Amino acid sequence: MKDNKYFLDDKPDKISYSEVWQKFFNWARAKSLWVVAYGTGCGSIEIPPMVTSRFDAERFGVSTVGTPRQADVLIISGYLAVKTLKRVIRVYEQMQSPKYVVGLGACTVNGGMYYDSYNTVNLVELYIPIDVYVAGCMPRPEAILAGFAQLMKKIKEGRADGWKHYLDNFEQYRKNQEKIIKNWKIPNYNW
Amino acid sequence: MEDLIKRIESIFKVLKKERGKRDNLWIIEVEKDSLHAVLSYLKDNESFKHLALVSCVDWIENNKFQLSYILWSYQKRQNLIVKIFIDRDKPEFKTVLNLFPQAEIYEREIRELYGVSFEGNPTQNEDFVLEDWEEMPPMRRDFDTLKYSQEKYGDRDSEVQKTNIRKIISDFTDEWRRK
Amino acid sequence: MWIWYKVLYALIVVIGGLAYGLLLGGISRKITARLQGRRGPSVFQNYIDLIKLIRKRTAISHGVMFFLAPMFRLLGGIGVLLLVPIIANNTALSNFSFGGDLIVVLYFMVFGCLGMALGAADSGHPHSALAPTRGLAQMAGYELPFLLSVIGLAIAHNTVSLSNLVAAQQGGILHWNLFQYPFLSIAGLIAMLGMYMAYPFSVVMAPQEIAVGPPTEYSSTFLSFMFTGRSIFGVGKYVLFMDLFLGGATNLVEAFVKTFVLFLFVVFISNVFPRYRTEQAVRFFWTYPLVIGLIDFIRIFIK
Repeated sequence: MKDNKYFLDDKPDKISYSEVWQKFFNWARAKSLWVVAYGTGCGSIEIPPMVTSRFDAERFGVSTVGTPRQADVLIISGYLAVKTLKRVIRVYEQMQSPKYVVGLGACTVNGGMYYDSYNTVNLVELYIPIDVYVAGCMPRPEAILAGFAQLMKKIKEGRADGWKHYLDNFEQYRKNQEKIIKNWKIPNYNW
Repeated sequence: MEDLIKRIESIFKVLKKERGKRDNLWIIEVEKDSLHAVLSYLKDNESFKHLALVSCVDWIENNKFQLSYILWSYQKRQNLIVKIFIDRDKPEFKTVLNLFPQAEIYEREIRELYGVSFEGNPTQNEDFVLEDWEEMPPMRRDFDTLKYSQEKYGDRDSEVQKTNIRKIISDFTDEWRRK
Repeated sequence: MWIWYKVLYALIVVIGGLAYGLLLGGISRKITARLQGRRGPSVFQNYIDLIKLIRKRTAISHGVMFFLAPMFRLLGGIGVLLLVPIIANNTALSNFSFGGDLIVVLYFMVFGCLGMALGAADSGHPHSALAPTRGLAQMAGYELPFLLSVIGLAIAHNTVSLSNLVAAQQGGILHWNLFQYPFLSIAGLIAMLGMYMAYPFSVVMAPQEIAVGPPTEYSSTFLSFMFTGRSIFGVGKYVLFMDLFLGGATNLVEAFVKTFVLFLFVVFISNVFPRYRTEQAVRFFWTYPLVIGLIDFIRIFIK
């Protein structure tokens, strides 16, 4: 075991494929997005209508899984406190690449209505890379689906490379995170 | 409800009493040394068995913290708020854990958000909602949240930052009220 | 020369079984969606999921058993599919069936589950350690009526060869074991629901309760192996039950139709029932199917 401070085991090396294969895999990735069911803020209340009968995200291949290990997409649904950010980073680093992050609501963009709160992170972009923002307070499920369509488009074109950016600039991201997170230990009451 | 206040007054020194917004809600202010006696009397003799909330108010102008103990009686269906004032420079008080065990978590919250320490509460220094907080307790009124937020979480560069959004909202609501 | 043909046929059967199993999974998702009033994913969604999973990266390591478990799962699936004759006495599609294949199939059906349980328990996650305890308890539940029906049929037809069992059921629909020994068939088919972890007995995976059960820590290629193993295992079990109760098949179309009917039986039951707890499931298996199966079992002995 390495130092407990880092939850990411190591950097996966980059394998290069020919362009046709890359396009094929990107198509498969875009068509099958598994969302980790982890609600971080008030926007998580918009996720259940999105995946159930009314809006039915499964017809686009978007389905939910219960564990970050198998997930492709992390939805940051609303404001992040420092405490939540710690868990979000942990979940994000447990996910296996390629992985994508969707920021939901005005709070993830720039703090939203909590711009002067002592405990709400203003710019989530500083701590984890976000591929698609869905603005609104809160966005309706239609808007989230539109955001997913945007994400699929980005993946198909190979532009959704937030996870690559995170690995390449890992030290910088870690420095930003450590600026506000002093203690990585998660207390016992999480169980 | 007035009878109850009269009964309390006959035993303890009540500094101030007033009726709340409902018939079954009264607010009394007592001396801080007699708070435990008042709560104990209310719990044992007047059936105020339920401590609904302990809250704190920062009166920075008077240099005081107000602690309010909100009680509820299931038999009489009445609310009673007992409030005391403590010195803001020396924010210490004794716990009411022996009377109401549920006060533990409220006192922890007040300890974290206002910095009032409660003597005799064993868990008061544990984290409540903030983890690793190093600054002044954030709910005190001399704590500048905007400045802190800008320094710690980065400045958001947008028009909203430059305009005073709170003033716009309050102007709007004032105008709406005048209509 | 003969052995190479056999290998070629086996490869075709495995790949075909995988494709068919994934398609059945997609159809099952579609049926569930339609029953819930949704459009649902395309029937080829499972193929896309598999392609995506193969190309995902992984940096997880939990020891040797963790890596081996998907292999065991896959082996259990392939073992079952390759031992049951899809079309009996056909060179290509009778697979590796031999005189005592029923016994080996019974062994292989447990093999995958046990390997899975070992690997999941090794992964160190509380959810994936909890799931095998439930799964093994439930296995003890459904194995009893299943073994009762299988042994009952073996005694009734005086054989432990699946090919002979299929041959004994030829000559009209009323010669099927489903009609010859209806109570044994009911016991076996209820045990089949437990084997598929379909909804009344889905406490092992329990999607809303313990994340996704045993594969909680598995991702990317490991998960794709498991996915493959589950699909192939599913098809193998449908073929086995077709051979046991529905009189086998004489051509491929018949095999498709019969396995599809069995599949629909599982899907429709699983979509309308809520979930049993483990001890409720075990109690259920050890009462109703067992008692129903015993009726025929006694009848066989008296005869």
